[in-house]
Amino acid sequence: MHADNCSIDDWNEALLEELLPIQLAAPVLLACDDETVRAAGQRLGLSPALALESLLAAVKAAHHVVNHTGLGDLSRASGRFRIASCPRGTPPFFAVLCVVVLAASRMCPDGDRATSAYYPILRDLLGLTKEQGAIEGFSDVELLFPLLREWLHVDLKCARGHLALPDQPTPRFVGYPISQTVFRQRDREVLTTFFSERIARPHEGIDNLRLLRRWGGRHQLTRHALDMVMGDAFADRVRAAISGAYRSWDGSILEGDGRRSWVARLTLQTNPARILVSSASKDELHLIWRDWSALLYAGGVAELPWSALDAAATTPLTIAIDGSDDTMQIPTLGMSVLFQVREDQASGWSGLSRVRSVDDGAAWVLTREPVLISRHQASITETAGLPAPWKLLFGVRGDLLPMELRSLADAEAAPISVEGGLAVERRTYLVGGGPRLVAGKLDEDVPLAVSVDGVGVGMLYSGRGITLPAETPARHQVVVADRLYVCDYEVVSKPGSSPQYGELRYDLDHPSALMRGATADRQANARTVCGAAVEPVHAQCVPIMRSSSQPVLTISSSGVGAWHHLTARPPWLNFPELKHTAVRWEIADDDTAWVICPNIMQVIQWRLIQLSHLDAAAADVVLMVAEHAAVEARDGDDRVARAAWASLWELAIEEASD
Amino acid sequence: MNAFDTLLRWASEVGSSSWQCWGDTAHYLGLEPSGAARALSDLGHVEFDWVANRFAAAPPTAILLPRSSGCILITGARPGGLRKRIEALATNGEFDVEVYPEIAQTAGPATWLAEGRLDDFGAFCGELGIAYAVQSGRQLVGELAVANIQTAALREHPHDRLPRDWFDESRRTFGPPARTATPDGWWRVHEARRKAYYVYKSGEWYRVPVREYAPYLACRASTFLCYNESAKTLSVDSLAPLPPLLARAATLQSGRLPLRGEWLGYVNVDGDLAEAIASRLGLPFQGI
Repeated sequence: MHADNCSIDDWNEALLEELLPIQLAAPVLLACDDETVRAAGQRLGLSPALALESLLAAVKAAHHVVNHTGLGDLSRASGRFRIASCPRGTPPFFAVLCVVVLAASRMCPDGDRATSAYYPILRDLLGLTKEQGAIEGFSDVELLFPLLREWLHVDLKCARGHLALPDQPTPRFVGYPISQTVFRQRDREVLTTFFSERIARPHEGIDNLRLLRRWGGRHQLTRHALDMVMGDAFADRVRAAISGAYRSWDGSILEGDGRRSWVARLTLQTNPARILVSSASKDELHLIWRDWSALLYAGGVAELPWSALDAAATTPLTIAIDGSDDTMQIPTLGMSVLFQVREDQASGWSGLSRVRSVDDGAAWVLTREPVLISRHQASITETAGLPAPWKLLFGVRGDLLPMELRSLADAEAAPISVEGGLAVERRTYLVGGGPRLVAGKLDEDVPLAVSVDGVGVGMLYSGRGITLPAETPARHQVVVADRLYVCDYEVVSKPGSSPQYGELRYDLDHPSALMRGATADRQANARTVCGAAVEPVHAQCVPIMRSSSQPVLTISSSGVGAWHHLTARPPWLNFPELKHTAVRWEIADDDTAWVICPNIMQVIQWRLIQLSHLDAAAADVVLMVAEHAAVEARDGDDRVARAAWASLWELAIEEASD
Repeated sequence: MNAFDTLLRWASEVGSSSWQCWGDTAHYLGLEPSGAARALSDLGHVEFDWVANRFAAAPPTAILLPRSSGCILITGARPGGLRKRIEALATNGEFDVEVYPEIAQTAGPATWLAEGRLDDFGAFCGELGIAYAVQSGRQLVGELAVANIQTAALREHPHDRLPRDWFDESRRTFGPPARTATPDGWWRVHEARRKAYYVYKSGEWYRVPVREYAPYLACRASTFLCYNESAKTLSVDSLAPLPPLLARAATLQSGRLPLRGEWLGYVNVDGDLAEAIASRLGLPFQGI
């Protein structure tokens, strides 16, 4: 988009979204600085170089900002806004207020004489002649900032937060924009290093202000910012400023004079071996280093020469970006570089990414350390294209790596977090399964006191954790140190709702049945397996169980008799926990028609089958038992069984006479 | 009660959730998530959807074990209170059923067994609201298709940016093949979440989604199964564990996970079932 195409309304909306996104009732600041303008410009499709120019042009055009009127037109815009009925749209003077705050952010780091330091900066921004003293119409900020606060509170019902304003700013007018700036330009540079080192990803429960207070690099902040960070008087405003700065952070480190340094992300490809570099930049970068150059598209990768790894062994490597003062930095890599297989859920990319520490699982280690290579000979994996003396070790467990390769200082990891536990819902755990409060690398190597519901439960050390209590159902609050980290959790004996079982089943009728696991979808009337249950159920043969120790003769449907004797329990069932008291043993039901136990004169008709033949063994037993036995049917009518037995007896007589 | 029992109890209370939650809880309990998943799946307690990355507890089910003198194995979900209900019902005199103490096992949750009159089992389970099945392991194998390159693999080339290695049947180990050759056989590719198995055959790559089938598809010259009729034990080379449903069928013959070592020993497996398992893997029974 061209710089001239963005109207004041475009900028009002872009800056509103950038500075005051939806965040119910949170204290907020209108902390507009150059980074914010750049980020808002990106929303409008403007390049960083054009963003500020476009904003200032829009402001000057909309409010007729010229030398003899200054900001005098603002009173008209604010007057109309003040009398409009609620709910009102974005204040038309929103972008102007952002510009006046932008000027404050550019003030000298530790300037004391605020008024005389401020106006020249604002005049310079607005292109007004260099004069001494206030700018015409500037005093209206005394009305505009409170009006903005009112709009956020009344019209938006604090949906975008409530604006933190001093009751009596000092100086009277300039104090307003200054109050909205916690961090000056210099501070922003320092903050990018803080973000990169400590909060590359947002972490729930962590108070970033307290984290900044503990960060070793905090002394690089301006005195103004450091005073505000370390004091409690403006804590909410500082938190709002940190959040705002983080939101507009593009992932680079500001080096000073507006130069940026992009942290290189390295990935390793095998087959053949290549080192690839990428960055968080949303612009195309033309990388140049010695006689190597490559075009790195936004979101893309470029292949690094192996000599770059050699150069980064002992010091960070700086790669120039053609046409810019910005650079790309490859951190000091040492003699060994760790990689782990990582997956990017959003893009679907997966591959070997460089990591600074090894979490669970194993690492791929690209190394040229003879000792490491010797120690892990069995892990060496050959891969084409790997120049000597580099070797690639596969599957090396983290705990087997030298200490210097294992680091807890990973910005991706939360400094403090709640992990594990028998969670049935978010922050809800089963009795007996309390979560662990875990600390990463803490900046100050001092243990932190942990309390639950106001009662101390232990100290938290860097890289360690403690289990939180969960003996009985209750709600709890965990506080670490001076509220550096706060978290609520609940312990329950059962989840609130009854669990549903059988959600996933194997569909055996699916064409890819052997290529998939259980799924939630299945065809109607399909054959399925869920746990031990197969559906539809087919009738299976149940064995014949005996509770008497006496031997048994079974007669099959073909008239064949077979003797069965009490069998010992199979060896696999000989567990010490099983103290068998009752006599039970089983006989395989091989198409059995009759079960006869002569010693106790028991006859059971197992199946209703008319036999036409009896072998000698069966006939002998039938004759021996004869009419003395108690005859019963397994299922069905005993009278029918007795009648069938009588027929069988006659058959046995016939067989015997033959 | 070991960590597996606790994991099963948690899964039974949750009912179903994501693989991420499974992994977090397993780690919390000191268990390796995939191994724990395998154990609980083989025992019929939990099902897993590897595409949607979800798990779900199976309904509680009792199955009659063969050659067990009338024992039922109670598997599936184990929500809090179920054990007490089972024991209370067994002792109230209404049924001739005796519930045995839990039998611990090292690499899985405890085995729940009960012994009694066969005729009482159906009503006993009905009273508890749990399903009752007979010989479901045998039926399960009977319902499965025979595995071959068409039924168990997809033609797909692995990503070249991911490292891979090849199974040397003579050395029975994975490693790099000759630098530039791509020999036929069983390949392992190291993906983000897990190792994926492929078969390379006659110039074509095949991905084996249920990776346990891969060695049986690719390494016909190797012996991965062995059966002992007198001991009624099916032994499986630990390099080539049985695919999930076949492993479950074998495991449900006893409710005990296989004895571990270089070979996995499934007990109480009769010849018919061993033959059926071999045939589903495309192997002749005589060969094992």
